[in-house]
Amino acid sequence: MRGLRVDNLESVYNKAVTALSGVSLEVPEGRIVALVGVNGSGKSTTLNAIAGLLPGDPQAVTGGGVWFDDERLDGLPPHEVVRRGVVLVPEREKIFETLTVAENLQASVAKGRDQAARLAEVFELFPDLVPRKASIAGYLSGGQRQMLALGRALLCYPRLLLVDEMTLGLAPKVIAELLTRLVQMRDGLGISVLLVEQNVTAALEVADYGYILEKGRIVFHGTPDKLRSHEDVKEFYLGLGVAGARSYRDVKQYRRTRRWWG
Amino acid sequence: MRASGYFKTRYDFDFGFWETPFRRFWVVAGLCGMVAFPFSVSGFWIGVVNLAAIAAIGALALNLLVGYTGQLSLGHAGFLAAGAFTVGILVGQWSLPIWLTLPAAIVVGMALGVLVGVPALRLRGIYLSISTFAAYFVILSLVIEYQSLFSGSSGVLIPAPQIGSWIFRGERSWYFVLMALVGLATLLCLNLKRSHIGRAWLAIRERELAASALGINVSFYKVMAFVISTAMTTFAGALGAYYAGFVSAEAFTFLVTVEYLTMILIGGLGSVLGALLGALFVTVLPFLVERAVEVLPVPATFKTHLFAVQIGVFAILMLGFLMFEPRGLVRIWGRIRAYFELWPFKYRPLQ
Repeated sequence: MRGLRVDNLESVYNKAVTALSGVSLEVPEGRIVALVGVNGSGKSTTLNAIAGLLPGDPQAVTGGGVWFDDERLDGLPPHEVVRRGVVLVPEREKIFETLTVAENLQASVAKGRDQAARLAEVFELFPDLVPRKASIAGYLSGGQRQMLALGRALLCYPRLLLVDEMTLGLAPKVIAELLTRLVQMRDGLGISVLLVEQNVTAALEVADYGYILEKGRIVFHGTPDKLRSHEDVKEFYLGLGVAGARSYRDVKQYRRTRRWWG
Repeated sequence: MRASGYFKTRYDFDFGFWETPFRRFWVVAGLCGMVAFPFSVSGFWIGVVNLAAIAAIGALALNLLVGYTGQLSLGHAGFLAAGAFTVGILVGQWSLPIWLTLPAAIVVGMALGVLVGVPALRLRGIYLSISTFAAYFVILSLVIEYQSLFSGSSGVLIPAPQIGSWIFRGERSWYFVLMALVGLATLLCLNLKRSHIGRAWLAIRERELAASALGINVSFYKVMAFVISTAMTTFAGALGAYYAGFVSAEAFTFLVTVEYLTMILIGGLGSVLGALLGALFVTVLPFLVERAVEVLPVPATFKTHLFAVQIGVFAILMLGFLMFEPRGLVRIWGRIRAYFELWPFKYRPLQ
């Protein structure tokens, strides 16, 4: 299969805390797939496991596997994963704050590739960065930082971007722009995206498919329409309560259904 | 607003070396000054600048490791000693010529770089510093042992080096050789900085996680930084040994490491120009203090305790830089430059 396949991935922290218990998902080529869930549900762990950033101790992948174009990724060091075209845009610590924007963009080691041409593409995609090329990246606003992180990831020549919490702390207008850029990358450059989000409304707007992660398990998946129309997704992720205020009974009912899914 | 400035019309220009006419002008002016210098001052000051040149190679090397890659090393004096004693042993035991001993010093440096760099993969921050500090003591005890076994306690004498029929003797001929070597080392550092290697080092210094997420092989580039840096350091140590005419383990105290760290701090961490300026500044300072004590009306105890005064001035300056201009001489120079570039305005216009 072309694209990313995560099969029954398990991860344990410090040999004590189960972070992922059997996560399976697929990102076919040229698609945007959303992975949503609350804090601590294991979204970032999934991404780090795919990118090869779980160091083994104290965090480790203990079962299952990750395949990209039928090549096994888990067990490879992070730079080898990037070489195969799978690039992570981390949630925090994503830009080099004391370097300039241009230096940030040039930081990726893409040997034997036309970096100048790709830079031109990046600046075309993110025109906001052009006048700030020579300024220190630490002075950028949150939205510009995110653009810089995406642009820098593009310079690694990705075929799949793993985007972690892109919309965190950003204004709705900026979120909308960033999401449009993701769609442009998919359509123009053929890059598929695994989008990890808490902002479910925004994520489902651009995604072709969605997975909902809870306590290290995929509890529900489907097309955005299917997810949006599901009662419990509405209630607990989109905040469109059918019954008004959440009561204890609602929560109990929700837990029961969730157990049933899991 | 004046329509001035340097406009880049292609994205390739960002990768350029001689970026601006301003830089080209200063490089040419600096070269002219360097050639004119030894013919306009006394031999004593040429000697001081020669010492500064050797220090500059060492400071550039330390800057690669601390300034670019962000790995704090406290073993610098040890690596210098290793270079000096490679020369001392090869010349003292077998009287090998300089064109064999200098490459040998570089090879020793590379081997040491691997030895110190590989443990550095698992250590960060203060723990790494302690491990390099330990390396310093290991090297130092080895050379002290060598010195007491083979050469008496005074050290190894090294005759003036010779290539063909040409003997390096006199401050002026050393000056030109050393300037050429400093030029080569500077070019090496500048080119490393603008190549993928330097970019990887900077990325590792800033954030290791983001660096590995960009496809940078963090361990490989870290060891590489150690190897290149220690090789350059042992080279500087070997040159110093030839220049001084003898090697002695007593010359490589921990204070030497502190001096080199001060050079790159005062100059400006992570900057090539900073390492050069810092090396010059720190080397010339004690001589300037000596002159000042002779000329100025100071108490007589200052003259009898000259070393204490020198160390005191050194410490005060270092503290001053840390407190008031942590980004060093390079930043001060940048501010002066910006003042004239922007005149009569105070700030860069908003884009």
